Amino acid sequence: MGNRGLTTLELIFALTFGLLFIYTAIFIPTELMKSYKEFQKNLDNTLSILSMSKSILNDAPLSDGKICLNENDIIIGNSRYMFLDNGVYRRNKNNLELTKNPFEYKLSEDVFEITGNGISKNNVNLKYNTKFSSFPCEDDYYD
Amino acid sequence: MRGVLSPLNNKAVTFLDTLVSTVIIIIVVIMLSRFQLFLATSNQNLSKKLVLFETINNKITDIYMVEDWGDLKEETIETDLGDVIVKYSDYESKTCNLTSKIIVKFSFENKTREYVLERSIYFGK
Repeated sequence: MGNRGLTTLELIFALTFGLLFIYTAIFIPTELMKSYKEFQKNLDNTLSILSMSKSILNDAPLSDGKICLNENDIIIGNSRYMFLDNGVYRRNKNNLELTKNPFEYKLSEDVFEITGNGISKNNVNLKYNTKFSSFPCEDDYYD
Repeated sequence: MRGVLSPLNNKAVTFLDTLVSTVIIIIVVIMLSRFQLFLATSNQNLSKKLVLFETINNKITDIYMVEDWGDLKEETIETDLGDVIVKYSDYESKTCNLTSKIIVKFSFENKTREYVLERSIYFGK
């Protein structure tokens, strides 16, 4: 009786630890990899949005309030911004890919507006004055 | 003697084995959980950074379109990740450079950012 009880107890322990081990060894690292990939994607998105914004804010003062539409592209200062399905590109002396996500733009008399995917399926909507652009470059707020 | 101690030793070894395995598993789980927590916090911080950036950028754009900066009053902007409080101070309608100037402070989660905005007094005329 005593031996049988001990064996059952050992079996339960062995099964529990076995399952715990399998869970730890497979499920948690897989979840971590998924989370890390998502984080990496979010980081790339954020950096590309900040980079695009910085780029527009650098070019806007050079445009002297004349941000204009040229076919499907936007001319800001000396740069041409192309809003394509596979991202936003800035063409000046070189071609520069600003984002990998597509963004939409809207140009009115005073405001240039761009909208696209931000983080976690939330949309980002950024507005810029065509005539004023004094927003400075940012240091990291949440290091 | 050996016959008497051997089962005891076996049991002790099994117990130690189980104990060490448990401790190792717990340590690994804690390490992985902390890394997971770090990723979640970093994701949250990225979201906050982007929301704050968007809010400040758009608010400054809006402020530049207001004709009289003297009319601006403290306000709270609601975002998905918390409220951003906007305060205005030190408004000068005419500086020596023929500009109007105002200081705008954005507060979010006990952190404050300050911007000095300036434009020609002939704006809108």
